[in-house]
Amino acid sequence: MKLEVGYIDIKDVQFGSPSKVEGGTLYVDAEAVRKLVLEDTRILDVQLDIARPGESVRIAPVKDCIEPRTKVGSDLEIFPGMLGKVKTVGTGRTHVLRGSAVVTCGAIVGFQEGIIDMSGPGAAYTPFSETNNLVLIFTPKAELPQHEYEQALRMAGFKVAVYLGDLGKNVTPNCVETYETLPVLKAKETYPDLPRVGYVQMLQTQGLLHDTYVYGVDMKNSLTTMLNPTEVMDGAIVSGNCVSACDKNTTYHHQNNPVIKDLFARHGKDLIFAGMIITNENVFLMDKERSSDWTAKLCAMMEFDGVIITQEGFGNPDTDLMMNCKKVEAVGVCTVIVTDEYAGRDGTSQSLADVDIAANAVVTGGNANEVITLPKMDKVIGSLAEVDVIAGGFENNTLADGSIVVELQAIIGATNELGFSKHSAR
Amino acid sequence: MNILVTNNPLCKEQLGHTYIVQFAEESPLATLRRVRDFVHLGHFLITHPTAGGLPSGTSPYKSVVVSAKACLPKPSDINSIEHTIASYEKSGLPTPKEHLDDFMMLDLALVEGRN
Repeated sequence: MKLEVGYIDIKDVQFGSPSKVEGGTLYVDAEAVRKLVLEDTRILDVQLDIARPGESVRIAPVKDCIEPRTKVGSDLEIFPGMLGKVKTVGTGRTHVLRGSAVVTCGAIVGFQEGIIDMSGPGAAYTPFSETNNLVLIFTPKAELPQHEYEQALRMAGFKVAVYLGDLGKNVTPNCVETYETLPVLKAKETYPDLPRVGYVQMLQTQGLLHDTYVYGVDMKNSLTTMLNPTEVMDGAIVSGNCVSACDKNTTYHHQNNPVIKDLFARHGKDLIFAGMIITNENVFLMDKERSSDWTAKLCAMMEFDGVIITQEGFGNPDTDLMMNCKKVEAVGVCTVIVTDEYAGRDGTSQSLADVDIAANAVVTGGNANEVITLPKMDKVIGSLAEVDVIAGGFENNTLADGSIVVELQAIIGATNELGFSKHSAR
Repeated sequence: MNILVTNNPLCKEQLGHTYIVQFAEESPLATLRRVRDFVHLGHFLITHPTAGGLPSGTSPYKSVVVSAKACLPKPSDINSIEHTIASYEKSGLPTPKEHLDDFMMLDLALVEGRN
């Protein structure tokens, strides 16, 4: 499969009518967006705001971040199975409004999380301090059950992202990159001496507020399966995960999965990017056994020499991670796992809830319990009302000068387990 | 029927037809210690004790399903429950007193299973 991705660089977002992309600026007709969102009668109201890199702005509680994209010259659609047709994506041409994001905000339950700081020390921990963000702040109808509110908010975010992405259909991209995978036999013939490397992506699927959707299917109800990596760039995987801000994969993370991009960059040079497996992280132990059995089985069937396994979340998923790792190693396939750590504020606790001797090559996204002080910002988009009960917050964590003290786990993407981060250590 | 060990009144109310519910008004740590007793008696874990993307001690509710049958204690289950208890003991977080309905609902969703 071959996908051309055209990147249209967005340097600024402004409100203006009509909506358009011109000279690197994304103009957003606020009324048109409001109308689109309020088509869903479960949403009582939506406020729109803009947050730009470097501004003294804090956004909370963030639910998802989405990159506007569109398909060009075909009848394929971004987010297949979620909004429109379910036709297989990952081929043809895609245009990306690079440098922009749709950010959804809403208090679905009383305890909330997910901070984005656009400047200051917290900005270094989230990739969304570097994007021009259109922020949607939702008010649901009274008495709307949480699961319906979550769904309404999630779908509204996708609708707005597609609306904005479509503005790039006829814009000439700043650059175009091509990603291509070969069928199994063809790849072996073309690169007979290179190792076959696969990618196993674990998806958060523990239930309400912890879900991930693939072509519209709730992944907790799926067997472990395979995707072509280019499908992910077209929105085949979307987030319905509202917890664990630091190590959840937002939809933007999926669209820009760095493991996929880096494997493509080395494809045909020192390895063959031989395929991608997606699996779930359910609560029931039987599901974990079945899914990890299937992961190992598919790795063997694909004759991978090695795989990279990425986790999403912490605690319960640590068990899935170790099951995947040891079963894949047991069928003769080398593994490298990517995770993050909950080692306590002093860093002395066991980092993962589960361990295995087979996990002998580990990459970490950092310690989510590390404490950080976030200085007061001039403007808050959304609400900080529950910042003391967000995961990673604690009682009396707002200081006299207005700054707040939180663990890194409160910040969107701070310890991302796809390695979507600029932090490293020696 | 398998056994649901819980301190969540909503689970007691809604899952009685699915599980044998062992309910007690207690802390989540006390609930986990009751689960540990089952595990050491040879019941095996049906659901993972650290389910839910919230740090240990953040939620006042904890529900874990164990098997009705018992045989030899399973080492991996002992590891899971002991590690979970240790992380709760270390967290030292005060039990939240607000948003109890939301915490109950989320805990219920985790042990309800697939859809």
